[in-house]
Amino acid sequence: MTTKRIVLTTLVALIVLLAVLVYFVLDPSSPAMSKYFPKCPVYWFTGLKCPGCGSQRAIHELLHGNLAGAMHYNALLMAAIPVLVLYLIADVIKRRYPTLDNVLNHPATIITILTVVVAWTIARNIWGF
Amino acid sequence: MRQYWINFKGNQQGPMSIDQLAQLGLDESAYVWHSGLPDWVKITSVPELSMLLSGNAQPTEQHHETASEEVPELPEQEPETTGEDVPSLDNVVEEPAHPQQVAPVQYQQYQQQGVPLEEVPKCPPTNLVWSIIATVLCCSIPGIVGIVFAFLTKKYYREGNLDKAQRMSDYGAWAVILSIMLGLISMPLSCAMNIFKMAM
Repeated sequence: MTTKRIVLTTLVALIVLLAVLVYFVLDPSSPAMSKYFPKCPVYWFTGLKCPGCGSQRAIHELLHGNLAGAMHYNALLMAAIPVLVLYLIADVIKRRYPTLDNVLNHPATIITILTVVVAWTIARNIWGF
Repeated sequence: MRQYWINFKGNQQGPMSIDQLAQLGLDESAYVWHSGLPDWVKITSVPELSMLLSGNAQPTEQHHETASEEVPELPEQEPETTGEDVPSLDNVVEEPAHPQQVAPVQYQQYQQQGVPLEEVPKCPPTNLVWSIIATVLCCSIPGIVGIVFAFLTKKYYREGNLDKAQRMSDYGAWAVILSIMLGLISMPLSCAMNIFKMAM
């Protein structure tokens, strides 16, 4: 590891730690606090919910161990976390076991992810969840 | 006459002429570099040297011809700058060491064309993980575009269209960057709006 990389890793780790702390302590869903949290630009301009809407509230609930609450605010985020972990594992072990990485990066898998994201976005705007 | 640098069985030597190389008893595992090449290449891909491999002295007349053609280039090839000019061999040595990295599906396709495993081109990065993170955390519209480009990268790679795959990979990276930028811009902007509203 070069010095540049160590500095960069430390910086990213610090930012993540700070974000975790902020989202743990402050509740973005409370009326008093919500105005200090950034708004989703898509919702702001179009009034439509994007796939990322509710992520801040969901992270707050998740950090307090409230899985049901997190699911309520943004179910896609909850679905994405295990998928992303799977991708990281596949990337780490791909030299020895390339199969998992190949399956995860197959065009069919990517198009499935895309379909799920788009379908979920349409559904949440129709039924308002 | 053209000067060659050779890496054979872990030993790097050079500059050497073709005649000197002929005495080394090289085989296909050797790598070679000469001025004008961007990086080390397998000895089999240099036509005038691949004749040395079988060990016959036949090509002697032939490389004398090539040597005379190359005379005008000679001043550039002065071996004074020996050490600096030779590119690092690290990446070349590392390349054949992890052949499993190449996806078997893609490999079969190249195998039919007779391309050795270590020369199968790798897929450019799809940025898929970053696109998903951008979709659920930052500004999601460019994030979704990033997923589309991830798909196109893989699609063109599997069709063997590497240039297009690389371009799609670059577009995907830009989509992720755009997503993060928009997220960062909207953050202080929405906070400023709130403060403005409160002041009214």
